[in-house]
Amino acid sequence: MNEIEVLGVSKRYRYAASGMPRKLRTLKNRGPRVDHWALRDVSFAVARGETLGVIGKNASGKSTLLRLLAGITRPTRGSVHISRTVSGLLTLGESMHPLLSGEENALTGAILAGLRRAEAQRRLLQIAAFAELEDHMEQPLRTFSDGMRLRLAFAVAVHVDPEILLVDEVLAVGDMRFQEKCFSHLEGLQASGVTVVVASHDLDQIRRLCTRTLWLSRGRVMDIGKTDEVADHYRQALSEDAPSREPVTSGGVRHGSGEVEITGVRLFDHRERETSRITPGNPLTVEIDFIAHEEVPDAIFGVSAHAERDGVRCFDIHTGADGRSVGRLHGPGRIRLHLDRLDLTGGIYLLDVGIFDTSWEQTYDYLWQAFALEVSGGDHEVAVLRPPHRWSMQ
Amino acid sequence: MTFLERTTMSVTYEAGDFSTSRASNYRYSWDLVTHLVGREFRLRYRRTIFGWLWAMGYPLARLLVLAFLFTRILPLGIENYAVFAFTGIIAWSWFATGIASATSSVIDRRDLLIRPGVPRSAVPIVSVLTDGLDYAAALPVLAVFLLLGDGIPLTSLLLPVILVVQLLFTLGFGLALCAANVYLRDVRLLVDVVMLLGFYLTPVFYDAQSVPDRYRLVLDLNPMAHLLSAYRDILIAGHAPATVPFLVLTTVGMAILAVGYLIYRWASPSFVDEL
Repeated sequence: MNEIEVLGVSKRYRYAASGMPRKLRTLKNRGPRVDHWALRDVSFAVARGETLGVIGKNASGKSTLLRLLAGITRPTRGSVHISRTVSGLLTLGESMHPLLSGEENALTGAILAGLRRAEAQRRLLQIAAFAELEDHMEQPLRTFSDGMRLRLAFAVAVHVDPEILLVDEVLAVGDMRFQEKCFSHLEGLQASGVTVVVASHDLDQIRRLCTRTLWLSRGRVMDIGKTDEVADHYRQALSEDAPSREPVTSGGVRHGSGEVEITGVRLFDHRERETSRITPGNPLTVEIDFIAHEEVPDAIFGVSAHAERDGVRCFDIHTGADGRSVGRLHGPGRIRLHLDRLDLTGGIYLLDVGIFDTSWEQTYDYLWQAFALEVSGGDHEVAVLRPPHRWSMQ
Repeated sequence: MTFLERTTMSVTYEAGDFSTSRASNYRYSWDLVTHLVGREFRLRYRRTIFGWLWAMGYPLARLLVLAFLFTRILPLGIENYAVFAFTGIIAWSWFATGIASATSSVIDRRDLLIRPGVPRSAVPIVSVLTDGLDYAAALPVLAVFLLLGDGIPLTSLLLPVILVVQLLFTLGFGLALCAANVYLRDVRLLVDVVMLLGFYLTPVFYDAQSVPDRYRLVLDLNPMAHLLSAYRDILIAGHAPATVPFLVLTTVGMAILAVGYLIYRWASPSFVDEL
């Protein structure tokens, strides 16, 4: 018997141009809506008591899928059918308040997760014991460390008798020993017939918990089947484009319509060595690999940077402003931006990389904070720029 | 109307489908809403020395200003002005702050929206009810004012009825404006402006009788004008409000709540996408 049935589900997010990060679009802030298909034509079913893993990189649609299963948002096309009550480990501890005690926060969490008040009260001891916070429950949450907060949030979430449990990348709670405890608890829930959907990019977690796995890439189902087989395919695909792919999604935000896709971003120093660190005043080359899935007559490539410490924009360079046409794009390609010298002060700078159509109407692919560049030296810098200079006494 | 239901059992979410078959669990919703209201109220005055006594501070300060203005500088000749104005101030405050906080509630409490199974309508409802507790906290002050004057009339027992009717209006407007505010953040700012105007266009500190006939329409269309006169009927004059107009008012209140809820329910499935 199927507990979850997902039929032909697509999910479109629509950004008004003003609602998206406009890093590269300062010249033109006019612009229509940007469509982003987070999921495209996804279908699958999960039987009662089964555990399905969902793997994929950041921005592959995992979280959107879980949100749809949780009923937090509706599909744009297709349908989602759920036969029992859904509980979710989608976010941990968001509703907690620092001024309230651990106990009050746990109570609120348990009620929000679906328990009646009296029942929630009864389970407080159990929750405190699981979180190993018995001695701290009376104290305000602001005195808790991040680890303690997460432990408490996790303990609350798994002590509410879930029937269908959605878990989104939240198993990295606490130290190894506590993580192990979380896993055993989840395995206990599995044994008692709870249907579980786990989204993660950690293959080891997925292998351990899931018999069947779904692989999402850019919103599409690449593969579904036995975990071992899917995981092998996934790992294989990862290693094929691994060197270029790795930095691309490290903590950044990505969106775009996908006709042209950025497949890799690399930085090179003046000796053509790949790097993420330069010294002030040295040249830097930004290399962008891309693939045009559809033929595109021309496009704008852009790179911008801002300082991590205060968000000050340092530069925003694109082929549009430079009057450069890159010509027809089709299939894979590579473009390089040579910065002859970069007179930035020491610190971390975050690079955004984007490909747009020539009218700026559409974003093909955009990686916000795709890469962190470290400029060495200068611990106490407050400014961004350190122009070449000398002093002379007159 | 399925108000405040928790999602249980079988659900199907479809594209473009807003109504879902859900089994309701009102007891759970009651627990949820009362717990959150209590929590919000406690948090509001957490770590203050005077605690919830602060709930009286704002209406008392307003009363002080108005009483000085309209008994000393521009006397309006209203008997027992403190009771008269205070009744108006606290009822109006609940209406204005309730609608304003409901309007921004969903944006402030995104964390509640991304909880599977938590009824979405709970969010603005909790806001309105929390502000209602501020009203309740000011009632003892009103009681003192009444005792200092002509005493508390027996008709004061009807107070809960009028509170419920005011709740209908506040929630109805609050739900609709909350939905609108998710898409157009101007709404919250507009609400503030309208509430500022509303304070003067509602007989909070002046007598409705003294409004010239040609401006009567403004008061007739203002539900708070009717509610204030009902409050003053039972608390000061000591008689029940006229039955037929009050029933009409109640019906209009229920209609507004129904429309507000339908708008909210229609818009709420895509809230999370917009936040």
